Amino acid sequence: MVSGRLLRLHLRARRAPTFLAGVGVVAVLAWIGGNWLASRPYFDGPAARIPVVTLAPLLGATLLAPTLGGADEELERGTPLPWPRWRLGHVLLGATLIGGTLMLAGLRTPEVFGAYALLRNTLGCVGLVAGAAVLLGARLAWVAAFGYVCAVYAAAPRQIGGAAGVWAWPVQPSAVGSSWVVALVLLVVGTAGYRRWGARAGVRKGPFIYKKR
Amino acid sequence: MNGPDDPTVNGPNDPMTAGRPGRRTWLVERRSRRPEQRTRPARRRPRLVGPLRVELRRGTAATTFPVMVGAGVWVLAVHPEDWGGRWSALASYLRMSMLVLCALMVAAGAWQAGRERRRRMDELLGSTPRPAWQPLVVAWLAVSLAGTAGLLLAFGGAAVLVARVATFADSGWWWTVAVGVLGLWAATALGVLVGRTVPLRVAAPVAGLVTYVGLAIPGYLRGSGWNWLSPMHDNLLAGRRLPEHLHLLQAGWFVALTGVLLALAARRRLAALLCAALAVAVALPIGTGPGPDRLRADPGAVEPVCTRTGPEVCVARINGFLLDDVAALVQPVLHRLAGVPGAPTRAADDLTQPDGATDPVADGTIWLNLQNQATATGEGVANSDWLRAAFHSLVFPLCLYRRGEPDQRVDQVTWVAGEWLLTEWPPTASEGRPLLAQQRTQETLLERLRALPEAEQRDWFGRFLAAAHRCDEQRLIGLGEELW
Repeated sequence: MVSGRLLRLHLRARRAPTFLAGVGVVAVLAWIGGNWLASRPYFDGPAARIPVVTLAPLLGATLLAPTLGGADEELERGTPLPWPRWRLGHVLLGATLIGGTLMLAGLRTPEVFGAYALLRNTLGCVGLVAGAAVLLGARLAWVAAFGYVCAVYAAAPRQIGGAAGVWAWPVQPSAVGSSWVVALVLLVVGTAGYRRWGARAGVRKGPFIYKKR
Repeated sequence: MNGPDDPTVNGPNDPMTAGRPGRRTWLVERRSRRPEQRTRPARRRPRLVGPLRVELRRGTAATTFPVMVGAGVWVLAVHPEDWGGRWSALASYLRMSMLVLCALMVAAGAWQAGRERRRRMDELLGSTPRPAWQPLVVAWLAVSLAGTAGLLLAFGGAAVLVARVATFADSGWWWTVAVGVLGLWAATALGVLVGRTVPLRVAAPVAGLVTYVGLAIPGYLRGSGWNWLSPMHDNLLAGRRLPEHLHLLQAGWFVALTGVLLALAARRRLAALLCAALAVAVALPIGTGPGPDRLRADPGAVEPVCTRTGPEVCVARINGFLLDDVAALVQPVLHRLAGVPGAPTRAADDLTQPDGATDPVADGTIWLNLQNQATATGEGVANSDWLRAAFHSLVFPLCLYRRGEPDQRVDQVTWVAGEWLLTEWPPTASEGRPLLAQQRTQETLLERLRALPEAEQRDWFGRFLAAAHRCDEQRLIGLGEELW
C-alpha cells in the first residue's frame, strides 16, 4: 500500500509541481490559441486548430520528460520499492493529467482537430517520451517526440488517411482510425518499456578533476 | 601550455627538468628584477580560435550540424514544388523554413548555454579571470557556425538541382539567404540567453517550441509591416523581390538583436542598451512601412516566354523550364476550344498578368498558377491536377452555386462539359474506380456527346459555355436533356 507521504515525497523529488504548473499554462494557451484560430473568418473554423492540436500535447509530454528520472536513478533503484509499478503509475498518471487538461481546451467542437485529437496526440507523445527515456535517459527523453512531431508538422502532408494516417498521425483528423492505432501502440510500447527498465541512468558528469596516473 | 603536463611548471626538483631553467622560472627571475612590470595587468588579445575549435568538436555544435543538415533536407524534400527550378523560390523557401530551423537553433543555443549549469561548472568558471562574455560568445559562435554550415549544405544540394534547370538567374536572391542566416544567428543568441537565464531542465525544447509558435503568429497577422522583423516569411514569391534597402535594414535589425541578446546573456548592461538603441532605430522604419505591398515584380523574371507552334502558351521566364511540360498538357485543351465563341484561345502563367488583375479568364486568356508546379529535378509538372482544375473552372457556373444549391441535373451537365473539354488530359488517380449510380448517368451522357459529329460537339459546348456565363439554369438543364 502506497503511503501518502511516500507519494508526496516521490512527486516532489520528480518536480511534479513544476510539471503541473507547466501543463496548466499550456492548456490555457491552447484554449486561447484554439479559439482564436477557430474564430478567424479566413480559416475553415474549428479545423484550423491543427497547430494547437499538434504542439500543445508535445509541450505537455516535453514537460513530463524530466519527471521520468530521479536525481540519482541507481540510488533510487536500490530502495525496497516495487519500482515497475511506480513507473507504470507515474506515466499513466502523467498521461491522464496532460490528456484530461488539454481535452478541456478543445471541448468546443471536439471533432476533426479538437478534444479527441488532443487526447490522441497526448497518448502518442507520452508514449514516445517514455520510450525515449528508456533509450536516452530522462534528460533527453523529449528529443524523439520533439524531432518527430516537428518533422511531421513541417511536412504538412495533404493526404488524409492511408499511409499518412500511419506516419503522420499527429496531424490527421481525429476520425482517422489508423492514427489512433499508431498513437496507442506508441503509448503501450513506450510505457511497457519504461515500466520494465525505467529511465536510462545517465553518466554522472561533473567538473573536470585532474587525476594522477 | 600551463597544464600538469608542462615540464616548466614542475619546479626545480623535477628530475625531468633539474639543472635546466624552465620558461616560467626564467620569467619569475626577470619579473623579480623588474617589479614594476608585475603590477601592470597583462593585456592580451582574447584567444578565440583554440576554444572555438574545441567547441566545434565537442560542444553542442557537433550535434547541431547533422541536425540542421537533416532538418534542411527534410523540409526541402517534403515540398520540392515550392522551390524547384528557380533561384528566388529556393531563397524564399529557405526563409519559410526558418519557422523550423530557427526553432532548432534556439533549442541548440539554449542547450549549449545550459551546459555549465548541467555540469555544475558555473561557479568554477566564474572564478577564472577570463571575462564571462568570451566563452559565451565562443559557444554562441560555434553553434551558429555549425548550424549555418548544416543549413548551407542542405540548401547547397538543392541549389545543384536548381542550377541544372533554372531559366532565370535573378539578381538579389542571395540577399534573402544572407539575411536569413543572420536571423538564424539571432535565434541562436536568443537560445543562449534562455539557456543562461532559465534554470529548467527542459528549457531547450520548450524554448524551441515557443519560438516555433512565436514565428508562426505573424503568418496569421497578415498585412502588418512589423512582420518584416521576423526571419520567417511565407509570402515571398518567385518572380517578386524586396527592395535592397529593406534587406539592409533587416540585416541591421538581426545584427543589433543578436548584440542585445548576447549582451543580456553576458550581463553587459551598457552594451545591451547600446545595441537595443540601434535595434529600435533600425526596427522603426521597417515596422512602420507598408506590409506585403513591398514586394515588387522582377521585370526580367516575369517576362513572358511563349510556344512558337500550336495554340499559344506563355510562361514567365523564371518558369521557362516548365514551358514544354505545361504546353504538352494545355495545348490539346486549347485545340478543343478553338472556334468556340467566348472560350479562351491562349493560356499564360499568372505571373505575367498585369499587377492587380485577378480574373482567372480575361481577354481570351486563361491564367494558370505555376508557383507550385516545379519538381525537384525540373522534369514534368508536380500538380497537373491543379492545372486540370483551372480548366474545369471554365465550365463551372459559379454564379448559380452562389445563389444556392442548383438542380442536380446542372451538376451532371457541368461534369459532362468539363470532361469533354479535358478528353485528352492524362487520366487522374480517381479514374478507373467503380462508378456510383449518378456517375454512370454522367458517363452515359458524356459518351453520347462524344458520339456526335465533331462540329455538333463544339456547337453544344459553345451553347453550354454561353448558358453557364449567363447563369441560365433552365438552359443548362435543357442542354443535358438534348443528350438523352
